[in-house]
Amino acid sequence: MKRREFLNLSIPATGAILVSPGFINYQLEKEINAQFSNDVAIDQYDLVINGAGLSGYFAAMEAAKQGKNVLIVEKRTSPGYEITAKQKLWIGTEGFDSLSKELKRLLLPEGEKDEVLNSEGSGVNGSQFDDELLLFGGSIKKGMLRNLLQQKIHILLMTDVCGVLSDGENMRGVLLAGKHGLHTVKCNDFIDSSDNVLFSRGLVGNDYQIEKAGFVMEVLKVKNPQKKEIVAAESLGLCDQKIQIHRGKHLNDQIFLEFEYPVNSQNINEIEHQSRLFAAKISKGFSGLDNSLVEAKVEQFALESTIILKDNTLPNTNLKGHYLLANDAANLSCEELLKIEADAKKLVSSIRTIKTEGKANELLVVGAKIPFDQLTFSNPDEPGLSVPLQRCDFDFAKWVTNRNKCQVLVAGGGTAGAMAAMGSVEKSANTIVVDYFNDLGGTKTVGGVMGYYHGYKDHKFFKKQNEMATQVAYDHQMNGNTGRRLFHLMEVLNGGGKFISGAIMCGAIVKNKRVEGILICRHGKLELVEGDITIDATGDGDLAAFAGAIFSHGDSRSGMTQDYSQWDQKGGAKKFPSATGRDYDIIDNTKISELQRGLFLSHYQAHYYDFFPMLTVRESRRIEGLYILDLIDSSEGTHFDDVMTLTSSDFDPHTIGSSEYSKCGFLLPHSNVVVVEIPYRSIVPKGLDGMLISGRGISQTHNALQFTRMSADLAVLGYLTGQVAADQAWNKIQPKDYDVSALQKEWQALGYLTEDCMSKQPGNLVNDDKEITRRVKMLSTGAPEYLYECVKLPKDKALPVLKEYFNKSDGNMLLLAKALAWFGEKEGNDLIVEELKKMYVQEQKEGYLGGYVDTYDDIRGREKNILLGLFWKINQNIALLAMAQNTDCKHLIRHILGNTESGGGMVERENEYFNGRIDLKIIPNFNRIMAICFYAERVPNTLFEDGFKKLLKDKNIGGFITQEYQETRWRVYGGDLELFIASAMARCGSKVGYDLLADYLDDIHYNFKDFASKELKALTSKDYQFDSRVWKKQLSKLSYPRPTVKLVKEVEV
Amino acid sequence: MLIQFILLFFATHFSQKDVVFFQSQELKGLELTSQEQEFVILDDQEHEIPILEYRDSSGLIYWYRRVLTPVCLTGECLLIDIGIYWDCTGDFFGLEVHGEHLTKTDHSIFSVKDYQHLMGILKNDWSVLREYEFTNLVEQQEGDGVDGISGATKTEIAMETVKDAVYTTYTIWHLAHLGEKEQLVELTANQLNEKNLILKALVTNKDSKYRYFILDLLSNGKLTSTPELDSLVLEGLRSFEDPKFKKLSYNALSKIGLNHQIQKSLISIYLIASIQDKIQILTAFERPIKLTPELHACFSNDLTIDNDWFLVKLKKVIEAKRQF
Repeated sequence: MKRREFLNLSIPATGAILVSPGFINYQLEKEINAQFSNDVAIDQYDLVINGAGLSGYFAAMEAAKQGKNVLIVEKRTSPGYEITAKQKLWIGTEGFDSLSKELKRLLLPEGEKDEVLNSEGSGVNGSQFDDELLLFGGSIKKGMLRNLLQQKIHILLMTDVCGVLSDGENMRGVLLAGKHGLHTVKCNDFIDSSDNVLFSRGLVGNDYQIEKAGFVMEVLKVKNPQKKEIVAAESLGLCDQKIQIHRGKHLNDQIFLEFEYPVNSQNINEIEHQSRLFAAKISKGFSGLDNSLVEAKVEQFALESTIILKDNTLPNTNLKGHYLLANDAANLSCEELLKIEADAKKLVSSIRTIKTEGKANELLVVGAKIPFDQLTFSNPDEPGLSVPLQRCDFDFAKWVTNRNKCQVLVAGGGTAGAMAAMGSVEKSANTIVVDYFNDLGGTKTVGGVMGYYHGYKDHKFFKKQNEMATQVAYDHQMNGNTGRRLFHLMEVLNGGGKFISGAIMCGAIVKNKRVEGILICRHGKLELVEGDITIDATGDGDLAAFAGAIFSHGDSRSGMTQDYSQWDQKGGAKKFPSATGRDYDIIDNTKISELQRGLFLSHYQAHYYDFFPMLTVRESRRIEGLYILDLIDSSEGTHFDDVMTLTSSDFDPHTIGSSEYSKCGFLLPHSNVVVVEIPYRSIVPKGLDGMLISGRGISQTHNALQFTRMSADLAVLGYLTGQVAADQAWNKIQPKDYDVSALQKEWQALGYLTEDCMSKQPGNLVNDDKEITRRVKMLSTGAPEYLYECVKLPKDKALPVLKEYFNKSDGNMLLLAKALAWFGEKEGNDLIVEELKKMYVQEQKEGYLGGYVDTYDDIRGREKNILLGLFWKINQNIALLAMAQNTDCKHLIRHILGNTESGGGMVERENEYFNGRIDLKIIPNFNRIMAICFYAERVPNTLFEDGFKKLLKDKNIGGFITQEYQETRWRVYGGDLELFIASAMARCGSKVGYDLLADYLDDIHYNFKDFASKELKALTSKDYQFDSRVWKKQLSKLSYPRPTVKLVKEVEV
Repeated sequence: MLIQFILLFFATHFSQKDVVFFQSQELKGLELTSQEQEFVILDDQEHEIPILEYRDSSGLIYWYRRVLTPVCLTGECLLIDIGIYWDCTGDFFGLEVHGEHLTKTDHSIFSVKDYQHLMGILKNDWSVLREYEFTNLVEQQEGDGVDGISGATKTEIAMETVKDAVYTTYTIWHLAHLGEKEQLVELTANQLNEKNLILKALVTNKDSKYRYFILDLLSNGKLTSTPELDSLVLEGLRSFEDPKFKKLSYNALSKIGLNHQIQKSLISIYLIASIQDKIQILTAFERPIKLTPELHACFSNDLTIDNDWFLVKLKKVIEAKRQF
């Protein structure tokens, strides 16, 4: 593999600061990417391990050292669950000196020192407090993941083992549940080291009993926290009436409260709720509990409870190759840790795989034995993924016997889903909300993004729910985040609803195109949740996609989405080594490999204290519905008879914008704030009954999404969707037949829909003849903001009026010519060319003065949508000439191309925040080159080849295939640029373009591979999908230059 | 140094005649009587701050805080001396300016128009100011600090601040809107539980906002049931012309005592209720409360309804057979 040196490129300021923690260098990048780069050609694993807790981790490390191919599967988003998910961030010091260097480094990494701010500790990293060694959750998660990856162990996070493949006698593989569905993977041996080995207990019919449960909460602002135990009131019902206190090393006033209680339910789901309600009772009574807690505030709950079985003896297994590993780490000490390690090593060393002939012929899941002829297998669309997975499907309704039924099923309890459940229970529907996490709220809670940026915040329900959540937090001495979790839980439970937590949603139950429910996996057990109406509130459209809905993803040209984030916990520290909120790469989280890569990447870059468990993904599938909301609706204020709610934002695509509107300089990032109506039809998926969509996955275009995705708006939309679903369930009406007007009246009476909104005429003004004439007339008077107003008009109506005014020759001919060019007309192009020449000469004299739109965060709040700055005006003219298919200016464009270069490394931004955003990390001439590509792909000509070749030789432009360089996080827009150059060159007939596209088939980003593959297919009429080897072979047989191929595509609205 | 200055200011300033330089419109003509009792809430830094209770002639509570706080803007820190009023629901109600007029960066004083604009901003509890840090209100310029010479106010903030008084606007808005409401609600609830007269004043007030507030408190368990509250809930259940009143009353139904008389009243309400509202009434009876034979019979009549989900709920209540 080539290693590029980028010493000449400016390293982002935050990157430099993040040397510790989380600087991603070439070696680390290689570790992260190995699993997604077809690194090993294996068909099956020697060993699959279920559960990346301590015992699973040690077993995997040992097996890898013995040379085995290992896959470790963890249902949570991070490894180390006994310590991290349960937040038991302390271990007894006895035996510390006997720990290996590696273990000491894992527990107390050097990099965490800057975040250890409690001055009262001693020993390594100041982590020893009396007889306890204090840990950071972030350190353990980061360290365990990295150690596993370094050993080339394959890892699947957010994945659970829910079945085994067998030939009747031997282990042949496992069935995995993930948000992308059910998949099998072959293996010789399998170790179950899941929490209490619940999966295997279920599989072999071990009738276990949960005796008690434990829970931990982190508390700050504790005065003089010296006590180790508090006696609680007997009425609280805790075991031994005691709450144990453990110090935290992050801050002097930080503690962890640990308590246990006897359970009154064997349902882990209910136990998780019970733990939180106990925690709330305790915090509500802080002031009466102990003086040190009078002003204390709950910082966070543990992600899950500790489950303690009455008898934790391991059961016998039935298959050869099926092993169990105990993971009882209730009171962890260094000695205990060594014992866990020794036991894991012993088990791994004892495994003597005897490879026998024979194939799997049955699938065993908890409660059923499914013959192979009932299963269907297919290959997943996962190019580059080294884990040899096979998609597995069967008749869930037939074989899965555990069932839950309800009227309204809310799949996904995030920003929209938690509120949908609230809306549904308020309408008295029997409601179940299902979520992967044990807390509701999604992005706002487990994602940690508490603020509201934009959104229609005048909405009465929005204000109300915020008040309610804030009040709950205040009443229970919690921070806003934890209070919001409790608020959601109480709203659902008190309203008679049910929250199924910790559930991986892995399939849909569909009969005759009617969605009847979903398949979930909890603790290794598959279950069905059936609802009269199912709301897909996953935000990713997972359930709708399982059910066969039509969907789109990313922009219409390259499939690019916004970047994702994963935020660190701030705790109470005033200062961290670097910013705690970061954005990361562009990922397509509908792909297994991309989700895993995203998780790995953020683990590597997170701080050590702790980080939130959820990736906050800004953009995923958009499910096609009965109506597709678009840019025109958004920016023209379209009124719908079936309006449900309003959203509000400026255009915020976290980059420049990809559509023709943006490339031509009309639809600019952070352009004017608009209020958008969401019609009921856009939450009804086309072609499916029994389902509604809520959240960012509603039916809309990529452009519209940028106006509607704000969390304040999604919360309201979710709530109203829940009400709609309840009404449909009570009245037994299918979504497509539903009339929302009765509920509209109710919302209007409640002030949710205003009189202003409801009294508007349906539609918008873009088809109104008078309005069309007005806009064109204003444009002809020289008002540049009317250019954007005119290009949104329908072509057939606008064109005659534009021509009429242009031919009158008494107005601003240039602006009219630009509008004509947008609609593909050549009339007036000469004026555009003339202006372009002049501006270019001026730019050559003055040099690049900084791109007005390129620093788009500085242009918020403008009154008018006017393009400023020479740089972008030139780009606009180039793009408009492309829209007009103007070939006369090809020499001018060639000249500009020939004189264009990168302009240097990535532009340094003025402060840490902007410097830490990947969407702003572009080279100075990024958008100029993109504009030239935009022209070349629409007006392709071999004339451009040399200019593009020269650009690719520029060290800041060429060679960005992302698996071959450092700092993927920072280079994604470099890859984007190179790929668009490749496409433009290929369309101009250049061999370099074809070859570069073929190279991008091996890029780490799925959307890059996909774009390259689709371009090659369009250019050659062949389809070798992602197989770069075959593509390259076939491409080498072609003669070059190839005929030019013009890009023909509809304008993306 | 600043603290000493504040103490000195307090000592000299408050001893002088307390001149009010500005009073917002809502406060004018309102006869507020001090209840001579001081309460305490916590500010952002968890410091205890005194709050006073006032009442108007109808008995409505208003909470009052006198604030003397520095606003640092153009390299110097100026003190503003203001009185903030909230109504009993914790919503911002009015403002008084003491000591001297509020001033701008050019040292000019607020005009009448500026005060009007300020009040418009302060009435918006979801101003864009909510999401901004104090240090991010202006475009950064070289050498900028909070106390340094500031750049231009960010365009998106400019509309929601008084011109040339961004920090003053920001400071007052945050004092009035963040962190206080939930604490003031708690104070009000305590007063309502103790003093029935205040409760009556709220229940009978023509502004429905107060009824909604009370019902919310009742639903959240912050108020204990009284005959006035029971009547209010029953009134709300019949309030088809005010869906919010009805909705909140249904939410509060499970918190009131369901005695014989109330159950009698509920029969007529139940008979005309939608299936969803019926479910809510049935839910209220999932508590260990005995059913009157009349209500039991009324519920039993619905056993013929063709809806499994409804019947599950209905049977659960009926089969408990907890009759008077």
